[in-house]
Amino acid sequence: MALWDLENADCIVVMGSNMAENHPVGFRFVVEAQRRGATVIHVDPRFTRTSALANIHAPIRSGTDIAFLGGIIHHILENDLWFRDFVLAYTNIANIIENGYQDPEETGGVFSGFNADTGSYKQDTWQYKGKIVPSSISEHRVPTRDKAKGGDFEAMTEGPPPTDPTLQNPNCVYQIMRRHYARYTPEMVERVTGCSRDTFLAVANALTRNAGRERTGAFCYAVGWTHHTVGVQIIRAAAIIQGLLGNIGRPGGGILALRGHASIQGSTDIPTLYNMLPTYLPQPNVFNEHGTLQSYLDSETPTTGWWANMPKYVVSLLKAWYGESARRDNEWGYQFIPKLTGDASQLPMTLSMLDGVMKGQFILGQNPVVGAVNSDLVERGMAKLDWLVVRDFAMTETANFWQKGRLVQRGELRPDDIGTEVFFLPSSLAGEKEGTVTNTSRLVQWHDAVLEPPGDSRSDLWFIYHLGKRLKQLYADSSEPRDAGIQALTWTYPERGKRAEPDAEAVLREINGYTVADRKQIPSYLQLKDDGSTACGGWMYCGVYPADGRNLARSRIPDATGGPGSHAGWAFSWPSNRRTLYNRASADLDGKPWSERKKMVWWDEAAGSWTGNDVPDFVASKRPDYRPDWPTHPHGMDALGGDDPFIMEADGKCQLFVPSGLKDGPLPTHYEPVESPVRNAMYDQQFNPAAKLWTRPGNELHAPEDPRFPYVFTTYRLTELHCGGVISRVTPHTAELQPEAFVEISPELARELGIRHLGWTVLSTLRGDIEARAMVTERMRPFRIGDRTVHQVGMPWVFGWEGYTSGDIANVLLAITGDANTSIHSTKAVTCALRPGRLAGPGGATHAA
Amino acid sequence: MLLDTQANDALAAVDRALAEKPHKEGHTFSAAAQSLCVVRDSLSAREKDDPLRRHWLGHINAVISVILAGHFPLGSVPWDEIAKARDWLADFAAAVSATPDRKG
Repeated sequence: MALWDLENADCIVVMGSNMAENHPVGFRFVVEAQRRGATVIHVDPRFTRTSALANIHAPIRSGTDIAFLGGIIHHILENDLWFRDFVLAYTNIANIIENGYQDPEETGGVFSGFNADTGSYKQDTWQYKGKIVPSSISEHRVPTRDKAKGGDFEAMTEGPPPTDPTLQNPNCVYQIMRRHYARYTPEMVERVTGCSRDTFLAVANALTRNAGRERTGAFCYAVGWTHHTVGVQIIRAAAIIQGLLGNIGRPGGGILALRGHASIQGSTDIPTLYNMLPTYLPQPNVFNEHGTLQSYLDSETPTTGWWANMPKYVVSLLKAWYGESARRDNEWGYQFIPKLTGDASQLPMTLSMLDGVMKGQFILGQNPVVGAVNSDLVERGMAKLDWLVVRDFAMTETANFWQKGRLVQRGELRPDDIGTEVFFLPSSLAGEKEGTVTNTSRLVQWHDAVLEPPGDSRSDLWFIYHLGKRLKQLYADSSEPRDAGIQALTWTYPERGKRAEPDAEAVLREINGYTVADRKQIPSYLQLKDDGSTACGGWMYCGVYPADGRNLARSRIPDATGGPGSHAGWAFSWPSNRRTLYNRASADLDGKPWSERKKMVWWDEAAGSWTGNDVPDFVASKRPDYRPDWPTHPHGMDALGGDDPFIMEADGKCQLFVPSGLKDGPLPTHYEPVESPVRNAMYDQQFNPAAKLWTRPGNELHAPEDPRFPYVFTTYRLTELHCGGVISRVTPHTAELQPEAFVEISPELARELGIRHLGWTVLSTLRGDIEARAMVTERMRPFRIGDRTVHQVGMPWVFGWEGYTSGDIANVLLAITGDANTSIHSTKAVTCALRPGRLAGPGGATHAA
Repeated sequence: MLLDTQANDALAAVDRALAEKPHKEGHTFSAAAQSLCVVRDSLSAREKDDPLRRHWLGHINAVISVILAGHFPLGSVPWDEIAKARDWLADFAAAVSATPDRKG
């Protein structure tokens, strides 16, 4: 959903985010919604400025989000509060699942298909009965069944999945969900999360009151949801709630992922991620059926739904990358693309540095000594590299770890013993370079350079472009097959000025796409082809530069007062300048708005097309009463009905239950964090059985209820110090606003431990020890969990040793563990020890509190 | 250390991983990766036109890639592929041991 669409919501739940402080620009739309009468709810362990501005603050223990959200699902189902017309038509609630499906209710906490020896799932029993359902294209694809054994997706073209509209079949999604969430009662929510039953019910009632034809609600989240070993499943739980309440694809309805940096969304779209090609095409994998382009497309392309167009996007991407070297007779250059064998995300990279696998690393726009988990291990890994290139606009902890690092300060490493050759290269700031940022709302916005960068500072685009040129020169005469990709790469962007800055608009034009024969810009991804006649660097961005001289990312035309509210003239949001995805769901089965108050797009019978206040997310001419002609085995969009809004899914339905694509279960389930002071009150299974764990010396984990580490520890950002901190710690105006690192502690815990406000404390885990001054505050409250009191402490992770304001690095305390689906690290819920005093150090620090 | 000793150490580490089939722990695969990297670095340090380097470096890198797939799996650990990689490594170790100076 668009940020500004929040003002159309009647209820907003901010959870996993301190939005008022960390996303203040977007939060103004929450404030505006509240001014218009919306109820604003903040669910968070701490009382923050977001809580202060909310109508309800619901405190929960870190890491118990699914218990809380599962409680809301239970509340909706058991009190029949779901939006029946929407849910029956647009979700898979009536679909029947395979007979072999077993729920954690039956197995002590895992789903059917779990292999305890490998810690992974097979998804056969999660499928729609008699079908193999392709997951929506993503990096999360898990092969379900060997194609030779009938595991292809053609079954989806043979007829609709079996359903029971009466919802009586015991294996329909509705009945499975009722059983799955039966134990998520308000009392259980209180017992697990520490949030009182009454507060929980106040949240559930406020949310469910604001749903249906006339009203909508929204969720806003940030890394408070994602940075867990169950991060994806927390978001899934919210998606189920929104599906049940009819809050998707409608004005003021949706789930807003608040991205932490200016263009984090852009770096996911045109990815810096290891497992995706641009715009969410899967990276080929050696162990999948990806040996040839044809087998890759056959095994990855869903037969039904919009993703059936994937071959057009892949071939057009290959043409953009390899130009004339991409020919039909060489699979359009497919073999130039490296194939994955395993997880190559940041956490494995850190461990691979330690093992000597990796010899060098480029660090651009990152400060992993501060921002990555288990900072000591990061330092140890970097000390084993042959070379390290860091680009930033000011010195970072990562660039001078060899000189001032924690391990050097503690005498555990000596600069003379570190062989890493570090290259620190100055980079330009945003105002010193042109290009785009893509924000939370998928809004691609162009910005110009307003001044020249000083000295040797250069843009990241300049660096990558000139590095690419040098690599092409280096490998120009190579006869090694592995170098052919670099040789074939098109790398002909115009250079400007004496610094030879590449033309960023030329890059954007290539991402948009063009016809190969006459190099004309393509206005829409509907025109992309899989015959080599079109080139496109990222199909979802097609339309951002639809014609020569028309850079829509530059456009800044807001709606006039009383306008449609989509602000379609303000920059470009992918895809097709559409502001709200799945907005076909804003109309009923017949194509009429669910209500006048909540109208967005609708079917215009006279014109024979969809129209409205936003670009319809549907086949423009497909009538609401269109039904697939199943005897002809329809493929692609022909297999979806005129009332199937969720077009990126193979059946066009909102997936309350996910048959394919998730590595840790089809329904969100409460597991304790890997480190927790309490046992899982819901299941025998303590933590996510599919979580990624890599225990080794220096990365030891705390067992559940380890008495040495009784406190829940969480980390967060500050308004005044941005992300990894350097950009604001070296700026006196922001640095003085947060002069020193601190740990937030409740008065109760402070009394118990003899800690005084602003006194020194030591925090410890098996990964490391740090010290910080105590901020004793009622913003932190003890939780009553079962018959115990559980204390939680919190600390900003933005400090380091560089800049005007400094402090110990909170992430020293964290372990390297990963979410089962994304490998993202866990920063929000671990356990720790806490005591008053200071660390003994080489400098002879005192021990007084 | 002689190259054949390094190669046999790596082979023993990979064999341990295959025998133990570790589950969500990093020690065994880490040890295998470390010992393979010793072999790789020895090969890499040779002259670029050294025939052994040209022939085997890509081979050892492929083994490392498969071991990393076991250490950092996407889904299930590909044990069958690791067993194949183990045989490639055994071929290499045998070839090096067969040279007169056991340095390749």
